[in-house]
Amino acid sequence: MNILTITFNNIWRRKIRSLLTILGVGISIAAFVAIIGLSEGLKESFISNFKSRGTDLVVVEKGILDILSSKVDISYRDKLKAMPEVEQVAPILLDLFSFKFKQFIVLYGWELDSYLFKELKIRGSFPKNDQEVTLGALAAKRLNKTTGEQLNIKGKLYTVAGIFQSKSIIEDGAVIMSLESLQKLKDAQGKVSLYNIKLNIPFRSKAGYAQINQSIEQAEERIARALPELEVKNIQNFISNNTPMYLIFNFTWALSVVAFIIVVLGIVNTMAASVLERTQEIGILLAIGWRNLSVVGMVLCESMLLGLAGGIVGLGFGYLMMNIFVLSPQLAGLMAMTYDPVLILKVLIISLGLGLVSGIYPALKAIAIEPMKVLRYG
Amino acid sequence: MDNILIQTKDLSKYYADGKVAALDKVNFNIKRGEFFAIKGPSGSGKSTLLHLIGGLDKPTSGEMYFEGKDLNSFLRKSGSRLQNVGFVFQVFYLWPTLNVLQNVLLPLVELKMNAKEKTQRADRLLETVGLSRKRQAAISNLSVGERQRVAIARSLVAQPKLVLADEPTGSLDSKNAENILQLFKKINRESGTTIVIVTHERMLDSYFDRSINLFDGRIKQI
Ligand SMILES: Nc1ncnc2c1ncn2[C@@H]1O[C@H](COP(=O)(O)OP(=O)(O)OP(=O)(O)O)[C@@H](O)[C@H]1O
Ligand SMILES: [Mg+2]
Repeated sequence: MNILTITFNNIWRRKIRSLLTILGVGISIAAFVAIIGLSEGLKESFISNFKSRGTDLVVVEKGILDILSSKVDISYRDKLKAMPEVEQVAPILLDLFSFKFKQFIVLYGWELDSYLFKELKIRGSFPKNDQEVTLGALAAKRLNKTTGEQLNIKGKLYTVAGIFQSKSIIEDGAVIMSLESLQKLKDAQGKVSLYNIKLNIPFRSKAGYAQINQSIEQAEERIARALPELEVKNIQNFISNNTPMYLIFNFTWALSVVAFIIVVLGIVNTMAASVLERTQEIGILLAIGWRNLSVVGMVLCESMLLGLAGGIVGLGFGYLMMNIFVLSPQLAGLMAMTYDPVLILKVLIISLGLGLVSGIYPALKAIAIEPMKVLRYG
Repeated sequence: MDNILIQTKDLSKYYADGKVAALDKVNFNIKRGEFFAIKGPSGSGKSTLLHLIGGLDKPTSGEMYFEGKDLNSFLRKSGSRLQNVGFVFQVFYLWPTLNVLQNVLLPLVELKMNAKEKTQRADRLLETVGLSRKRQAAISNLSVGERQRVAIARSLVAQPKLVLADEPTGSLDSKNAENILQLFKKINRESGTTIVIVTHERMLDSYFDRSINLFDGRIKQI
């Protein structure tokens, strides 16, 4: 018998109320889990999209928010290639096409000899001319097409030359055609969306993470100085600032704060009611010699337990919601489902913390109870 | 004097802006180990006096000492009553959702002892009050007399120097009342705990070492 026994006893005697509180907390935490999970998942999947190709830097048009609207002249290709720190340059043109209502597929225009092809596992072949396309495995599944079949993209017919697999889910869900072909289709002759740059880093395989990052940063600075009219970014930076992710990240913060406020209000409300209805019992505890500290501990223990239970329920619901989103046609091909242990730990600590904060006011109410006021005989 | 546990000097408590004198200049003492009674008719100030010397309430004026220390600043601090004063309230105030044993253990949550020791101590007291067989019972399944005995065990478990009981026999029939008084007396004799009992039943005089009679907030000399 200790404070924890009493805490469980208190929660148990009001099963329904406790359950409703835990559910309420759980739903708010679930929203948090889903929002953070989705945005982190998207970010990870964008980053791995570049990393899997061995890309270190990205060059885009200056001042764009959305990568799809970026337009850079193809003439930079040779200028970049000529720089000593650059090992390889791959121009990419990007587009989207919709094949069903509100369902989009990413279109890539790559040069036919691009280094980007190296990381992909192919069945059939990559496009050999302007009439051929190659589908990522996921895209093939969504479009229901196999090698040799015809595919209609924005009114033009292409032959599926092969199907590839990529470690990056975005690529896996994409269609690749030749750069010229997509330039024609998009009416963007002589333009590309971005350049992927693989740097010339000596002893890359042996160098440490910090060392590589330093080399990347230095190269980034030099190239940016040489081409001030363009935006040169390392991958992390690029993902956080030059994609719609930037909007999502800012938004997640606002939503999380709202979710946390709802959690705190829910627990404070329940705990205040719990303290109020136990005024007499708490008064007696104080009368028989419990210290204020123990009474505070009892209340905080209870509110933290409600928070933690809500957190666990929230993780369950949250990942369920994420699963549904990830599998939904609108998001299909953009990210894979991941269970990030850091996020799980964060959620558990945050819910304990919110429980603790929510318990403070009710705990102060509890020790303000005067034993004399509850000793009413009758 | 060393064997004096409680000493009051002109102890007074007024209510309603001084219009009601619940206690008026009360002077008395309680010695260590005594079995002591506070008597008097209803409204004479017995409960008021008990709450004051238990450190639950502040006097309007006058002085009180516990083992020679100013009682007001000593016993009214958070947590200080636990091992100094045990209370048996007239309506018990047991925790309804905890069982008999857990109710007795409640004060011990404060003490650093291992769980086994705590349970042994509580079980010994449950045996003393004759409730060993009901140690796991729910409070709601106990008779009034049994609840009173749980409350008594709870008041003793932290081994306080003084136990204060406010009309512990008030809601019992005369046979049960006598049993409870005998139980208190036995505890007093065996453990040496100072016990103060508030009562208005006269015939029980013979049980006590000493008593005071209150009448309209004053000690009436007999
Ligand atoms: N909180 C209060 N406010 C106003 N008057 C009070 C208060 N508490 C007690 N009194 C008054 O003080 C007097 C003494 O009350 P107290 O409860 O000490 O009597 P008692 O001897 O314990 O009576 P009983 O035998 O009925 O329990 C009574 O006149 C009572 O009405
Ligand atoms: Mg009374």
